[in-house]
Amino acid sequence: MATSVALPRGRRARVRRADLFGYALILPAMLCVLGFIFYPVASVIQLSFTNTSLLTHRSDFVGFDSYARILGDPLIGLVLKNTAVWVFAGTSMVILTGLSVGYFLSFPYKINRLLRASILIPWVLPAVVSITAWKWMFHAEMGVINDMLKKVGLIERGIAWLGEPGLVIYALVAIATWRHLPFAALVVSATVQAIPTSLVEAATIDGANGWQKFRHIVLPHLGYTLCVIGILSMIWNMNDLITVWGSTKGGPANASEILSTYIYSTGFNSFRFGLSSALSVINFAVILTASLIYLFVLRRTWRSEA
Amino acid sequence: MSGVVTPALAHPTAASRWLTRARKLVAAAIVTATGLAIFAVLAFPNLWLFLTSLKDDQAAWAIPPQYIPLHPTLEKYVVLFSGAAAASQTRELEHWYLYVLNSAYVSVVPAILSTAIGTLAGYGFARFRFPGASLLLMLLLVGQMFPGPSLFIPIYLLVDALGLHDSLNALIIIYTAFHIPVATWLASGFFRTIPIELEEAARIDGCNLLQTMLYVAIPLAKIGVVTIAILGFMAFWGEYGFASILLETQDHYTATISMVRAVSEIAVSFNSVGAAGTVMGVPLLIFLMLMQRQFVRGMTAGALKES
Repeated sequence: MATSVALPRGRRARVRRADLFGYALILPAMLCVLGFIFYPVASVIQLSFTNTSLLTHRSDFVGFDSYARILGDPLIGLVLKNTAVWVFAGTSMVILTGLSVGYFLSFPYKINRLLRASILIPWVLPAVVSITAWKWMFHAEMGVINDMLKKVGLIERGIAWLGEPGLVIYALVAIATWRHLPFAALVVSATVQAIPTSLVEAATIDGANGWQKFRHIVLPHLGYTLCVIGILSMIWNMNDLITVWGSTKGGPANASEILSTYIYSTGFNSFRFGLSSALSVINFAVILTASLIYLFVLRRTWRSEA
Repeated sequence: MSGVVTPALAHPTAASRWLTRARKLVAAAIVTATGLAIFAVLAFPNLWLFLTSLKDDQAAWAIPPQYIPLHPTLEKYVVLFSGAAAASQTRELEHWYLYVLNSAYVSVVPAILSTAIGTLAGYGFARFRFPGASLLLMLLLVGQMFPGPSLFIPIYLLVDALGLHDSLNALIIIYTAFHIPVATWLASGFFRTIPIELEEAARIDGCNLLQTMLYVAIPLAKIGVVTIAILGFMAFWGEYGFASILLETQDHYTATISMVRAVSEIAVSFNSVGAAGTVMGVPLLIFLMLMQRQFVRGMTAGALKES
């Protein structure tokens, strides 16, 4: 249902000029996006086949050499494993918490006025500020989380949440989940509120209990929304550098090293651009796959808007 | 009026009514408690950082922690903005006011630029039909996912090739470009909600296409345009990755870079960093209070349209 302000429709010359005007409007946007998003994508793929280094000032074609070196890197297995945990645990937690909090928000409870007013706090505050706050709360000796757990008697000695190799990635997942929860919860609650009330009422008359209504009426309506949340959360986690870099820098002992931090440190601490580019291409391949799924899920939107 | 109401029957009715009321009360209490717990999880972390910023060093490191600062002080805020004195404790925050100004520069300018470019493009997509429009929209939709660590190396080299190494203007260019896809999509959505009849009337009255857009359509989408700019500002204000690879000289650091450096020190003084974080967070909380509804609309747009 494309409409046009080019009036009157009948005259050819006018329509022509309107077309030109339309192109002129989108031209600057498309040029910026091509130059600073799509060109760098092409360029990183090309760079991954070179041995570009800022230290040696060389940039020769070396084929798959960088990829071969990644395969031989003793750390890569750990990095990929951490990245998988980071992405999948992160995405599952966002879906789970977003679903619970979003469903809670969709009811006309009085307390929800307070919640709606405050739910965007994690989303608006700069990542670095929230990460600092969490790092402080997770502190092994002075952190409030340990203090509260001690007070209720769950632990006796403080836990080094960000210092324990087996724990650190999950602590970071908690931070990422907290930051993505507002989006997930608001989208879920908006979807639930759009469910025709007659459906829920009919189920109530038929004697369905709360769980049955959720399971058989609400949940089926949420498929699309949860899918979008899941894909976006995957992409956000793959693109997230600051949560890990700002709190642990990949440590302790690389226990929280993920692809994004590894790209960053091989690129800008050891200046091995070829290797870092190859890692970037791997990271990008995951994002591209998720994005294509996203495009497919949203196909009706971008087709109808044109 | 049959007169056969037996007391035996009346009694259980009263009891069950009491029971229903008690049950409702318990349910309401559970709901309120759950809501308060969610609220605490949402609000506590940053509130705690703020409370810490009001403590002196001794209180900040107290074990067990002081949940309410016993002797609140603005010492850390004074030190933060007085410059040199801060050096004694958190060197990374020494020129804090300068970093905040840099951050403001690299967030306000790209917010305006990307909103201008994105609004024009959004209007183009919403009101004109041309071949390939859906392909271009798709490119924008997918392109907004790409900026991230995968682009660190190529953007670094591109900026270097443009002669903008270690320049705040490099950040302005790439932030502008990165926000354009979202800005275009949101703007296009806003324009679609405005009835086209007004623009058609303006055309009949003799406005040309440019005048129609500038004087009729864009004023009607004003709130949308402001939302796009503020969403951009928020993203740039806290951006870390690109800022940290592109800026080298300490004078060019943004507030985010200096905070990450300060919080990465071995002995972080969380009260100083907390003061810095509070200064960074307050403008965004003000935006949140003013524009909550627009934010919700902006962030959920697209994710909700099923058909």
